Amino acid sequence: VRQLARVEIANRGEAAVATVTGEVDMSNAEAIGGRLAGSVPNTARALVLDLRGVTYLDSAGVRIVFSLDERLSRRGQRLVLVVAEGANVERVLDLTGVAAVMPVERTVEAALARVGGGPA
Amino acid sequence: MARRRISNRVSELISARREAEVEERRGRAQLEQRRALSEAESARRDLEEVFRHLPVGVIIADARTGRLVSANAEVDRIWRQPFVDEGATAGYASYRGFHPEDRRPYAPEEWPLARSVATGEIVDREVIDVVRGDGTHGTIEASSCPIHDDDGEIVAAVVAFADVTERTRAERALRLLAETGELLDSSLDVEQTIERITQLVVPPLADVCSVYIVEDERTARRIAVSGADESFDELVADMLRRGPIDVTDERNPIAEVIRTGRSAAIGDMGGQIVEDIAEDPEQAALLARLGVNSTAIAPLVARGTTLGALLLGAFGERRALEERDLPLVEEIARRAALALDNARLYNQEHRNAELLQRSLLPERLPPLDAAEATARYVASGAGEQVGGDWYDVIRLPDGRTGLVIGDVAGHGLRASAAMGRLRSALRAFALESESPAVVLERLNAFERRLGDRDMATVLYAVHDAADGTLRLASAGHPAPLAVVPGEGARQLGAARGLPIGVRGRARFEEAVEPVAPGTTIVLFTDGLVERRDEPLDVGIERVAAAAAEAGGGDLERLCETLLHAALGGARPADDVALLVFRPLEIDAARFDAAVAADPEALSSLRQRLRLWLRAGGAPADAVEEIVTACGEACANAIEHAYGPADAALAVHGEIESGSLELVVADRGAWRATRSEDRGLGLTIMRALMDDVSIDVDDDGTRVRMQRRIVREPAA
Repeated sequence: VRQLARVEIANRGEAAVATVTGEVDMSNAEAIGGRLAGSVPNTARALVLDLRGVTYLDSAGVRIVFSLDERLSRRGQRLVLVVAEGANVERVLDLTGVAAVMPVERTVEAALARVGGGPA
Repeated sequence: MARRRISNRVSELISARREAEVEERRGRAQLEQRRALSEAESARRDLEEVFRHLPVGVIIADARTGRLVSANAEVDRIWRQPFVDEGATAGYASYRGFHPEDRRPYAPEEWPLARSVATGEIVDREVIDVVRGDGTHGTIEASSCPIHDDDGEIVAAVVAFADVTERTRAERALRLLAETGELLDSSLDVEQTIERITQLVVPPLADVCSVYIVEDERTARRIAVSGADESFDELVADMLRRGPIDVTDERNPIAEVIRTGRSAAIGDMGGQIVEDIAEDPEQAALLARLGVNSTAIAPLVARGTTLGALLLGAFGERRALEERDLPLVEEIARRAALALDNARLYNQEHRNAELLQRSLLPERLPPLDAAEATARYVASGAGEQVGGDWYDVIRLPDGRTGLVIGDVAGHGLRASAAMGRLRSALRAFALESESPAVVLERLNAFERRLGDRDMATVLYAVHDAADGTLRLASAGHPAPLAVVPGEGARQLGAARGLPIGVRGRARFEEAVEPVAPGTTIVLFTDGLVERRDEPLDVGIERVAAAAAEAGGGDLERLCETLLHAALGGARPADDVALLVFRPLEIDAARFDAAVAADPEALSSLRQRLRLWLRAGGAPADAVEEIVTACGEACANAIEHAYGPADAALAVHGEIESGSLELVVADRGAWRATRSEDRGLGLTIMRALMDDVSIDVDDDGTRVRMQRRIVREPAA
């Protein structure tokens, strides 16, 4: 099994935390999007999406972030991104307007504090 | 005299004429009146006829007395019982209706007609479940309104209703299926999904719903039970308390459905049902007390396998479940089965993958500066047991790269644990020593002294980009192949030493092979070349021939080609690990790559571009931005590639006096306006590069991008 990217899911209080590492492009974006959407329990208030370990993200990846946000907000759940400062991923999210419409934090803890999820 | 007589005669005549006229007028008036009466009578009769034959049931109530005074024939037809003018509220009491939401019976004052009479309410198409005079169940849709006199007093009210049984049944079935379908898309775990399905089914379709899943050949376990309301709590608790059912039990109808895979509806024939379905006398008493009237059972079938059964029970006043309900019940069962099946597949793959990822295989290969590498792991088709095969790529100082391929004897958790241990140990020793033979000796000593003395074959090789050599040593592992484009494939010479873990002290020979840039090294475990009915050499020859033919193309493609040549698309009998590695030729001034228009090819293309940009002196942040812009252009080329003839794209780059020009060419047409998503890609490209232009002609599309990579000092 070739792995371009890896997704890990953890439940932290009332939020799910998904950590994506590796490269996200048109070859795996859809699968990752599906995995992420499926990772949020109906009872969770939010999904914290930690992209600090993502070394490549293009418009296919941006699309899944947008559609994930749409899907979650339909269910009354929030999406908070965690992105490293100055990373290429941050640049792409800025350019495509994601950062303008979605909350972006520097750490998972800050993201959890924003959604009011308790500690693990 | 005569004149007078005449005059008398005239006046007689006149008066007679007058009388006749009066008479005639009177007669005409009478006739008119009679005609009017008869017309009114006939209109009334017509109206009555219309009333009688209206295709909807109509009942009229007198507001003064509250009595139901008139009903048409359709009323009796819909209700299958004669209309009786019984006076007061008794008329309502002879009809049995239920609120569909909670199956609560209609009280006399709750009927639409009674409400219109009492309060003047206008009722618009109220849906009412009914039990007809003959005991059958149906659904009506009723509308009613009051009739006012000139003073505005309510003098009467009228209700019209239609039988909507079939339509309602179809609508409810569709809604139920839509809801169960949505459940499958939701992110609930399998137990929650099954439980929600049982909750959806009651009360719309049944009073009690239960799902059983097969545990082994003999038993099936209940995983969810739901009741329509609290009156079924006792039964639900009773069912949940009971152990698994015996699938081999000839008398158990659930067991029979699981055995045969055929659904069944069991109606109440002379009180027999309780005996048919109860598991013991205690449950029989409970079922009888609750008034069970029928059950429907459908198998949970996914991909030809019966995973369990869905049981529905109808009680008391509810319409009995019958043969014609089975298609709907089967469809709901199929959805439940799908949820179970997905979860099983997921769990199984997950377990395998988890074991592998956690301790055995690198999450992904590290990016290499002067080489590319890719790997595959194919689990054997035999059961869920993970084998002990592994591969690894280790970045070493001074442009060297360590390549590892290994195979621990045995399967399952122990082999996995040994693999994880050996992999970590080898990585540590690789950083300590430049000699592959020394690394393997230390690995052997480690396993003998500190490990569980598991046996493993390992090949370790170190590529040095500086002098273009590959040093390798083997602990009982098959030698790798070197593929030089145009020259074919050959096995690299490395004497096979003893496997790791066999002897306390082991010595390994080391070989040094020249490996020129562009040469591909193929490392594999014997699962790739081993077939039960032929010698190992034949398998190695087969893979070597496929590798030679594939030559110097894309490494991802090469992996697929080799796996296909060796396994023919089938699951291998033993696990297979495959690692391919190629030192790159880098011309710092020019970059050329032609790859298949396949998303899978993008990652290694990006890696090659990174290497080239670094070699050309681009700073790290510029490298990533240029790679992203190029990735977008390539993604677009792939999205609009039409067919196999178009399915290639070429990337050409040049760096001249600190300026980069990058051209991505394909043979399709650019689709800038196809969707806003592509707009997203273009936005990214424009923002990251100094200049982007798109040329489209008959040959295809060329995206030309320019950027200064060496920033001039600020003026």
